[in-house]
Amino acid sequence: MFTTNTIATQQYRDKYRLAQLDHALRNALIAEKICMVDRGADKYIYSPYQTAPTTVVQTIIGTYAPANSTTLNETFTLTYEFIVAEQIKDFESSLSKFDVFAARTDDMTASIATKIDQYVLNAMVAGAGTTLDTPSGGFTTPANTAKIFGDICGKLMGYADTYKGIYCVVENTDVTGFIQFQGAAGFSYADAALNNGFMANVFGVEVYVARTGTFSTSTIGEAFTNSGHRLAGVKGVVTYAAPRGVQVEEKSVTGMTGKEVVVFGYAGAKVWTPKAALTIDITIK
Amino acid sequence: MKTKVKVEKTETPEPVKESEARKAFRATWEAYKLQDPEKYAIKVANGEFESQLAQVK
Repeated sequence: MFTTNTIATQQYRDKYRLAQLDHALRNALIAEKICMVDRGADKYIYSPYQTAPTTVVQTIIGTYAPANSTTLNETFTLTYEFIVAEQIKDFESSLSKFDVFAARTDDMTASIATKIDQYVLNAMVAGAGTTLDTPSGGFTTPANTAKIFGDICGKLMGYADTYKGIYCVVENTDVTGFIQFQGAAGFSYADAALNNGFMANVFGVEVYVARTGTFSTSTIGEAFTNSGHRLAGVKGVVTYAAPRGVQVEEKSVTGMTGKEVVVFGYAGAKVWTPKAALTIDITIK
Repeated sequence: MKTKVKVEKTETPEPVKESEARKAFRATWEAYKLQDPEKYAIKVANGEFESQLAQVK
């Protein structure tokens, strides 16, 4: 009997799922959605502010005691640069079916964006002017969800800026509590009475989910001690400066074929003193 | 009359070597102490240093 079993591997048809090299999983970017973004190419942003005046209500008498008003300086200094540099050798690009160069720079850009996002979120927690402790178990305990969101709203509502909307940033490990809470709450409670959506909105608070480890005790330019913390606040009151976005430079270097690629960006975040109370540092208990 | 007192030798346990993760954790808190002494004091007083350290292997 004759059997054919000598087909060379190069005979088989191949198909590539994507036109470009596939990427590693990327984190969602949150900072731009909750901050006031400044794209100006400025090293310093100044925001002088005044002490709040006090109105006196008195029985008509026609006299008064003038008070001093004080103007204070506040400066946001853009301090940090975020940078990734790699050498992409020519053969890696020339002999590949894919555009390695484009795929790699795209990945590097995403890496920078993710790190900037993590920095901004941690800087917001560090600069927050209001604190909030969750009940024991934090967000992962479904019964805590209503209380935590009630507390967040209670800390923020009543200020004129609150019309901009309230947000809360949690980590993906917290999601289990939310889903169980929303599932148990049922249609009339979750949708009709409270105008909720699936995860995206709880009691009118926009919920953003970052990956676990985003809020960390680590050095990201500066030292942060935010492990076990989460963030909430009013949208658009913290300044996130990212002049010129993320930039790419390619260089021919001696001793190697291909290009040295450096991807970099400048970024910073500032919680302004007069509005610091509108950002909440949540501590999970 | 002399009584013999038996002295038991006690071995002092060797200090446990701290992991790199814990060393990095302590270094971060030290840096934070210099950066923001006020908030550092509040966090330490609230027991946050200890509770976070317990999570670091």
